[in-house]
Amino acid sequence: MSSPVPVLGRDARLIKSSVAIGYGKSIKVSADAEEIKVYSMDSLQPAITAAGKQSFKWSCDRLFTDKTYLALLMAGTKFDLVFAPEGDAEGDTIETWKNCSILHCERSAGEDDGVLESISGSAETVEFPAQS
Amino acid sequence: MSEKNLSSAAAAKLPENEAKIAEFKKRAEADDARNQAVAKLFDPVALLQRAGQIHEAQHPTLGLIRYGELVIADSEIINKCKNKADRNAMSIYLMLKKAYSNLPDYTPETISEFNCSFPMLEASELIKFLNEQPGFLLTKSPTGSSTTQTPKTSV
Repeated sequence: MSSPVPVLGRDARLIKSSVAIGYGKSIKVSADAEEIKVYSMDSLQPAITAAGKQSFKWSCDRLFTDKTYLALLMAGTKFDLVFAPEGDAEGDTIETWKNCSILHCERSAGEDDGVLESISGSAETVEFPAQS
Repeated sequence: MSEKNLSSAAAAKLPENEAKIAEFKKRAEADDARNQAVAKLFDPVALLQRAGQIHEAQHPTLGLIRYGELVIADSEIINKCKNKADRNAMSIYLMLKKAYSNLPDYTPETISEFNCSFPMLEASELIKFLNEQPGFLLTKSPTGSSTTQTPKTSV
């Protein structure tokens, strides 16, 4: 399996059915793919190498949301992560990591309701901005 | 295009969503400010000033205790003591000596006399109290991994 390549850390907006449901601080995303190698009978070198099944992972330091959404997120509700890898929220370089789910999170005892810490999860697919 | 069919990137720019995000951002900023306020900063100047001060603390049994913090130079004196009991006594003596200059003088060679003459009841309370102070050197960590034994070499 190939090693993940981390992308710039930024702040992300969480969108569920066109509604903003939260805000993530210091998001990091990575994509990796399984390696496919096909060998012929008469050679030790692979005849074909290719990237196989893909997975998209994301993580953020802290996530701010409402109490209502917090329960939904913890229950496995999927959402989209929208962020600007180049730091420009107004421009065209906005990336969307679609159908994200939370696979790991932590909460400090002293935190108010609606704050999650060290959250990570996976996305089903990534929508990159159209190249102009 | 209805709001339901909007892409998430476009939905994020809707005024109601921007207002909501601004609200979340405000909470994030408040959280950052709170974290920064409680974050400890290493300040050697303040440390030097603190090390020279005489601290006072009210003890339920012993009353008002005055003591000074141990400094790097004290560790050299403590290390000259022959055994653990002497080192413990020397640490306490040095902390007290900084605040009570009229205490008799003891050296690593004579610290056992301090050990022999200090009343045990007060000494045990004092050790317990000073052990909890940040400037006390001999506090053992309550947890820790056990020593790893080196494998025996075959001859």
